[in-house]
Amino acid sequence: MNDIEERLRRTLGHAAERAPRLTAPAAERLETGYRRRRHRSQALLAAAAVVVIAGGVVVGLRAGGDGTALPAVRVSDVPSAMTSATPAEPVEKVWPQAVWKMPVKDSEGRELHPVALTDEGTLLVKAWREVEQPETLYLYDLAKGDLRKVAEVPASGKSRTVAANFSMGEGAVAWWTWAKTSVRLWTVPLSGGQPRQVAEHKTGGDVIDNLAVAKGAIVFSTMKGGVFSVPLNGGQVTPIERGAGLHLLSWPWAGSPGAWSPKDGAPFTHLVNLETGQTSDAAPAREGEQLLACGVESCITTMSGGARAFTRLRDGSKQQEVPTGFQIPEPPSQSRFYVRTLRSDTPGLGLYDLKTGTLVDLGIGNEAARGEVPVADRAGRMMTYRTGNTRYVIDLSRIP
Amino acid sequence: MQQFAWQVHLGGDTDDERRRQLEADPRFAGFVAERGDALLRYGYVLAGNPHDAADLVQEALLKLRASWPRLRAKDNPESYVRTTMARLHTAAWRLRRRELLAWDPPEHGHHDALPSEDEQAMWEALSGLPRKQRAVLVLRYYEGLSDEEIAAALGISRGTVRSQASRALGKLRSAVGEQIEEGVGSERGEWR
Repeated sequence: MNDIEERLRRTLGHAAERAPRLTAPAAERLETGYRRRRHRSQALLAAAAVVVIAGGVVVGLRAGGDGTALPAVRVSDVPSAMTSATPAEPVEKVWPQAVWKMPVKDSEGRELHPVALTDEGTLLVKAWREVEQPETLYLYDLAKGDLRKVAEVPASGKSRTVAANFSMGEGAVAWWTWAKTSVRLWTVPLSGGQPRQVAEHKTGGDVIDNLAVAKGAIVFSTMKGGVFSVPLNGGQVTPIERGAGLHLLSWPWAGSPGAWSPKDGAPFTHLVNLETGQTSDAAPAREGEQLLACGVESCITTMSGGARAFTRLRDGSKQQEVPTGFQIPEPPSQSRFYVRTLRSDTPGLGLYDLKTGTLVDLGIGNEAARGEVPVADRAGRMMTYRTGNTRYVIDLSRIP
Repeated sequence: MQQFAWQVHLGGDTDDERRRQLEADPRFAGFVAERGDALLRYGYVLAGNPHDAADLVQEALLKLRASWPRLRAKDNPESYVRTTMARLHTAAWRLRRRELLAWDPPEHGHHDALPSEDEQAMWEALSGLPRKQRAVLVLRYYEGLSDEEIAAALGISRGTVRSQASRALGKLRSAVGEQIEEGVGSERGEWR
């Protein structure tokens, strides 16, 4: 070891002695935080589960429902992936119409990460070298395999800043970047061009928890609560009156508690339609159950101890049992799809369809050990993951 | 440090296991109590400041907590946490989420500077390194890992470990060199 190395080793050793010490009760706080995160995942899960929009109307929010009687579900009725003796079939064999494969990198070697599907058979993709520091936005033509650049994501000064919540709508992509005491809102036409900073909004360190493009505006909410809007062409950031203290779930719905504040109860039990003022309050949990989270359409509950889990519409109808034991509390996209472990002896992930009881092999084997899990877009329409040199995109809306 | 092997524990399908996954686990609490300070020390040399150190430790322990029911006896939670911390650090993970862990200055009081000037200069020079380079140096000279182990921990190739380390050492050499030329003349040339 030469001098500089020796000096470095000494420095690190001595510096470590100056490190802070944990104050009790660290474990309890982590336990609380862990639960909060679980809740948050469940909230995302519920949020992603429910964006079912037909002609602009969110299906499933009709108060009172259609009075369907709750089906009785016995545990033995629940298909169990764990006990299945037959190996799951590959996803591309079971649902070939829903599976797309694409390259993992662009021509400059930057990793491609799908954001969302458009209705024109293209995929909005961000590319980065450093995790969560997107440099370029592309539209990827799934059928042709073409990658077309939409825009370069501007860096601030020398270093790249985190750019988050890329959202599409009205022919534009919008996102925000963090600037310590404020947030900056950006937009670029989906057809391509130079990104424009639409506004800078002083937040005093608060960050954005959700963002959407709607009604010619960027609509967003902050972690501490409050929904705001700014015209896509720029202008004043103004609070949306009906959204005071609320969190954007999915335009036009905002509610409380937010996904990040579950100590106040299950997220999004209270919802407000920002356009019409209609409100929706979720049916309370049944006896022996606990509400975990709600979305626009449904809520998720568990029985105490987590032995069983159920999804129901917000009014409490249309119960379905969610088999527990799925590995990752990933959004059950389209109210149906759960990521589950496949095998007991080796890593492997499958996708489980609550509607039909089908379990397919996603082809994620050892990658699962390195933390590769399918990621759903915020609408819950698409799931994406990487295995080796292939990126999979699963269009869940094409699964009958 | 061995690479953490993900073990999926499918015994979790029984009611008992499921319940365990949701309940506070005293073994986890024990691990945090026993190893928390050491992890914070590691986080501190990785990140260079107590705030980011606490962030790293918190994030990694939360991930460990989530995997805890799937850990088996042969898995090493400490190596899992350390690997996670190094990866988080190099992933430029930055939105501050510290909300749970409170920390106190060390027992002997929090000094502004390291006892020796050459170490203080080195510590300051370290803060100028890109995250990956700093992580490689910390894993090599603080954790005492081999280049192969570093490659596995950070998920990069051995060649990258070597090139990052040599680039980082080069930067430290010139940075510390300037410091010494400005101030502590007596040590000049020691490293050249």
